[in-house]
Amino acid sequence: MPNLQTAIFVLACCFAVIGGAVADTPQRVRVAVLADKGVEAAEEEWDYVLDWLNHDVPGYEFVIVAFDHPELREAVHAGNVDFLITNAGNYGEFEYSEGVSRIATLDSPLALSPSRAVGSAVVVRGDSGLTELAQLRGKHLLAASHDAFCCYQIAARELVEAGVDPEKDLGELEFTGFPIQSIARAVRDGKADAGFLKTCLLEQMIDSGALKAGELRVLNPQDIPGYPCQTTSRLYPDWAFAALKGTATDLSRKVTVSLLEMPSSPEGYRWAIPAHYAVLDELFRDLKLGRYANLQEVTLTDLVSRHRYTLLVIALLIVLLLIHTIRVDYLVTRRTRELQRAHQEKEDMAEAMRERQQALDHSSRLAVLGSMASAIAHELKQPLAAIDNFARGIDRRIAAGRLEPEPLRDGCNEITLQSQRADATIERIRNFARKGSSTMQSVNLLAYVREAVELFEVAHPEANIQWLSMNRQDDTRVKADPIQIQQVTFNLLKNAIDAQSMQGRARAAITVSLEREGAGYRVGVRDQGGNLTEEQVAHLFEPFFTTKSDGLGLGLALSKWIIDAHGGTLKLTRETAGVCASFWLPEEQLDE
Amino acid sequence: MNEQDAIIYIVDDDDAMRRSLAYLLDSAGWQTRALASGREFLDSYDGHVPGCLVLDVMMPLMGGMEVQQTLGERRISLPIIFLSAHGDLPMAVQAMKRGAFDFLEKPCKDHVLLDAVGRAVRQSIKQSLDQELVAEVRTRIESLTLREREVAACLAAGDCNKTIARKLDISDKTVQVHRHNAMEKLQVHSTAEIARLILLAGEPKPPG
Repeated sequence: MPNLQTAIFVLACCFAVIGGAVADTPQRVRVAVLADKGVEAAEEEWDYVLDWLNHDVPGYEFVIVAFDHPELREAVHAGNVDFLITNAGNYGEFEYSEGVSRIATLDSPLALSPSRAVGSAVVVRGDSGLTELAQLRGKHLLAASHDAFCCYQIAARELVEAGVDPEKDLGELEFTGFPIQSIARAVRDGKADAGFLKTCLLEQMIDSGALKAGELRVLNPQDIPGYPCQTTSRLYPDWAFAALKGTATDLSRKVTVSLLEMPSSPEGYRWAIPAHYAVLDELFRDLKLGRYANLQEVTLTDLVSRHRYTLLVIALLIVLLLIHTIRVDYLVTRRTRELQRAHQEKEDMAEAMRERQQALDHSSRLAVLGSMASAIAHELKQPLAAIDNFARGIDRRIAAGRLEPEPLRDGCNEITLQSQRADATIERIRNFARKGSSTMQSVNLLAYVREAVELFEVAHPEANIQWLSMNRQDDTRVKADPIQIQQVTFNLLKNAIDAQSMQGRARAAITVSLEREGAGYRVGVRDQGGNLTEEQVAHLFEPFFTTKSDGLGLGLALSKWIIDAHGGTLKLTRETAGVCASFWLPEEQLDE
Repeated sequence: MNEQDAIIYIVDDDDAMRRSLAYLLDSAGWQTRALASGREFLDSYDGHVPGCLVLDVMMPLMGGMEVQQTLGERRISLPIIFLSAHGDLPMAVQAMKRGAFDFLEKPCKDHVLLDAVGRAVRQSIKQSLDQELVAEVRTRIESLTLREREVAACLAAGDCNKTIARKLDISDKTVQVHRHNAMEKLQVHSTAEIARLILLAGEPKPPG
């Protein structure tokens, strides 16, 4: 029946062609593979399985896609693949995080069973003194990577059980990556104290001559009957073939059946029904991985990686806060500078004001002097007239032959006295007019106020001044510029008499008082010049405000300035008949 | 009564001025009384004449003008020489209207003041003499009888005997007797003298 066979073959071919035509668009099925030994190695390793599936499951084109750990995680998470082939540890992680479900477990020739297939051998140099896992504390260890199942996680669990936290208690935990053979070589060469290897690798390397027997020793070897390799750890399930959450059930079923029916590979690998992965659960719990990740003791690194985005946001906020703080700081600095500048300007202005006030003071003194011109003239005329009288009197006595020495000498003495009086007056006026000759000294306030009043009485004989004060002997000691105080007193008296004159009552009594008040003395000048309005009183201290037709409006402003400068106060009080202007000066603080 | 009896009163609140005025007047031979205020003068003045008052216009409490007014109220005719430091014309006019003897500006030349004082004293003396004469005349007039006084008044008014007799309803003879007696008592020798005396005494005009 060769013809028949041929015909069948041809038919089959036709079918194949038609099938090819039909499968012109065969559904592509992507099978992800964990490429822990590199992409090419992985594709080569799983080529057999893919060939079988492509052969056994029609209508689909199975494509192998090799990923390293992070890529695989990403691909699975994105659902870019339909199936995945990975080790037990990795599978366990995805079962928890991505909901993948195993459909078959690799049945390896070296395994006791699919669920007890691989372990980890912790190797040290043959001549090392290390015998127990607990002795690894503080030592330098090599492992493939944190994600590596056989070459880190499995061994790590054993360390944890032996009381050594591989993340904290080791001197150094160095991840070398793949291939793991390099770990074996590094340990042999003494570059590290110990290394984590996948079970059976040591035996393979010795078989291949890469290592000599006895160069490396497996730490804490387990006694597992029937298992051909030395292992430090217990055994775990082998690699799993798993379907993703989104993969069609029908396809999953077809693949499952196909895998289970797959003949053994030349190396003796087959697929078996999915192994029980409970042992993984324990491992994850011990290592606080996967679903038990939240059990892991929190380290800064964990925190950072786990809360990357939160931390990023926090960091961003901190940065913003920092920027804000810096900005605020800058603004505060700038504002402070502005304030300082404003303050400086104010100071400058106050300085200018002071200078102007001094000039004003001077011009006001001159103004006061001007208003006193007739008083000054009178004050000088009196002694001159007296001198004239005495001199002519003496002359007449001599002419009349009345040469009694006593009256003549009296006349001469009088002339001397009066010339001294005139001299004193001139001196007083000069002091009064002198600019910036402010000299603070300890003075008897009463004496100077009294003198000012007397000077005023001379200038204004019509004034009726009543004293209501202490005795002339009382010592009312203040620290003051006597000339200025007299000027103020004079000003107040001038205001009083002017106010009264305007009311046609120049002769009404002006009461001058000096009383003790608090820690100082108050000098009051009370007139009967009629009442000022509240508003006028409020404005009286302003320079150039005046109620007089011929006033400069400087008197009170200047007086107030002078009294302020003496640390005193000047005030005006409205009274029934007129105004009481008064100033208060603190008494002198004696140091003794 | 002569200048030797005169007292010059000086009232000035300024010590130096007061003393110097007193010294000057003293040097010129006048008796002086110096006082510091108008009040002091008014309280101490005993009506002495002759004399004059040298008065400062500007003084506290009581000014010169007030002193003048008070003296006027008291009918004291002491001549007043005002001294003013300020040549205040309205005040000078007012003072003169009220009978001031003079108004001088301080400081005044010594001879101006002394001249004024001299004149014032002379006026004071004259016033005093006039006052004495009037008092004498009044005494004489008062010594007349009612009829004699009536007759004298009519004679002073220029009436003749007949007219007087008819006015007073008495005889010519009787008029002649009264006239003789009145002239004798008044120590005059003519009717013109009678008229002068009556005028001097300020006797009210006779009725009719």
